[in-house]
Amino acid sequence: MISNPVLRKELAGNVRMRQLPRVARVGCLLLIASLIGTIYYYVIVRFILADRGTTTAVDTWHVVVILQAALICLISPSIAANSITREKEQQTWEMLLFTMLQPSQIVFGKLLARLYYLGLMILIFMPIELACWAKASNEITTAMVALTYLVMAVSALCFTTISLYVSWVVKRTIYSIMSGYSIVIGGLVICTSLSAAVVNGSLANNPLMWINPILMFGQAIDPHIVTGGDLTVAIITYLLATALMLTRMIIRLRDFSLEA
Amino acid sequence: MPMIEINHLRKEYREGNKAKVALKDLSLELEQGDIFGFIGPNGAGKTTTIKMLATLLIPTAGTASINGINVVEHPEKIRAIVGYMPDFFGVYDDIKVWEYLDFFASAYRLPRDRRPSIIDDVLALTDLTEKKDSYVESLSRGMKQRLCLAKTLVHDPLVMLLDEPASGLDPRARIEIRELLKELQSMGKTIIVSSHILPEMEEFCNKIGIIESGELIVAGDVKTIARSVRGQHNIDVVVLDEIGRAHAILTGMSDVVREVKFVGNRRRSLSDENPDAETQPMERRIEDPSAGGTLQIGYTGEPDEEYRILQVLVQAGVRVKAFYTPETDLEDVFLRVTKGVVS
Ligand SMILES: Nc1ncnc2c1ncn2[C@@H]1O[C@H](COP(=O)(O)OP(=O)(O)O)[C@@H](O)[C@H]1O
Ligand SMILES: [Mg+2]
Repeated sequence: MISNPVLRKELAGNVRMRQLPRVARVGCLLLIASLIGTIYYYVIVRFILADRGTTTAVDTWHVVVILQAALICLISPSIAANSITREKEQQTWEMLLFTMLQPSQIVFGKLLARLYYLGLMILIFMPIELACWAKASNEITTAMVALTYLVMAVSALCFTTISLYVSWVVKRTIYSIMSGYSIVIGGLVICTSLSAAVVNGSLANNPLMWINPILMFGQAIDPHIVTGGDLTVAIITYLLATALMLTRMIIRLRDFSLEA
Repeated sequence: MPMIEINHLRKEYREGNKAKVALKDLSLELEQGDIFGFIGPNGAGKTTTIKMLATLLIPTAGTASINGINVVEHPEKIRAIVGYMPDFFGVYDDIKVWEYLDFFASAYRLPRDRRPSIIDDVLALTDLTEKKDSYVESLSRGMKQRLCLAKTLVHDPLVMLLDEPASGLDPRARIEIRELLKELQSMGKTIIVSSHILPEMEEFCNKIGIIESGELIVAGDVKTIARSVRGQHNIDVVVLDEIGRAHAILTGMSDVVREVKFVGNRRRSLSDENPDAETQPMERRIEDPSAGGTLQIGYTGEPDEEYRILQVLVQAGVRVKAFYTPETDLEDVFLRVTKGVVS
């Protein structure tokens, strides 16, 4: 995979720090690392492990997963929004398509590069979650942790693919950012809730709500409290939508009759 | 087999419900090693034609093939043997010159161990060797243009499609592009190069085509076109003195010389003029018949017997300083053709 030239270029080119002098780069990294280290130390050692009971651990688990869910819903709909529109705006897209690259190399190169950065952002919370799980393994079961991560992975993949897809369809980054948020926030979060409320007057047990990411994360975090959805159906729906978008992009990536 | 074969190529763009014809009916054949100057005003259909050859636009009708490969049926095979430089392009930022070339080299599936030497070669060819470790966005416009040419060369294409490679460049950068094209010509590549500026083409194109509003008005080799359009081609004669006598002698050769114009006192050359400016010389009145100057004649005789005129002048004792077909000849052809003299 790393032999994919698009992926390599996207990973290298996205680090805007490259042109800084080496000293400044190392300094920046050290600063970030020490900041994160301090946060880990306080939250894990002083907060979660210092607690005699498990309440802190369970509460922290909830807060952190909600934070990650919010990050996924707010960042991934636009994280790949400029990956193709920027090439169109900078007039490099045509030259990229004129190479011998396979459409799948272009699509997956761009997708994986953005997922990599999103993954870093999400996984940075993992040590805290592991501490919560270790401390309160009765309340936070291994299955819950696994399910939570599955929902995170599937929704991150699906939303990032949506943003890549709209980036391919529209011509300007600003439109692809707007479309990405419209679909994820406007469609999946707001419209499903509204329509569920309107159609049978209650949010629970309404199939449209099943694909609502907030409900999905709720079920994953604590399946005993949040009920009324079907996670399996939702996850399969997300994966199917992702596969459809990727297939269409790969088949029609060079289809210029779409543009003219 | 011709290297490039275009048959009745046509392209219509959708504009709302109406179809806009960008290219009407283009047929053309180019042999291996031909450098074809594709000349026409803005909006004539040059970019449209080049993009269809580059598999980036689907023709409405007609066919085109490169090296015997149909461009619509086998676009991936075409991309392997063609280098394409668009009229407008950008470069990735935050990437160094060699990384940029390495990216395209790997995108053309060149093996990793061969890439460094190929990159060095194309950098040397495009005179960018010192810029190897510079960031792409720090390059001047002319250098970016050369970098783009370098990029189109990494996979050693048989055919190059260059859409206005010199547009927007200062005269010096233009000359560098021109030198580079001559080099590519000597490497035996078949090149289509479009331009709306004529004089820069004549020097290295062995064939030209003039296109206007989607129609190829004339195509062929430069001199033949000049003659077919006007029945003559221009020759400038520069004499040291006695311009009056030279004028009289030339006027007397009416069987092969159609018109004799006094166009000034110095040799005309494009290198010291703005190539975009009006370069057709004005006819002037000879004020001092004993002085030197330049006469322009319209030669109607056999194409390779111009020397006879020079012979007559020299035998008559006229002190000829120069005798040549001016570079602006093509421009004159262009102006006549696009005004509708032919069509
Ligand atoms: N995408 C397009 N949609 C509609 N019309 C176009 C498009 N591209 C070019 N044209 C029209 O086609 C004609 C030929 O354009 P072009 O091939 O770009 O000319 P040139 O490169 O010779 O300047 C022009 O009249 C132009 O307006
Ligand atoms: Mg053009």
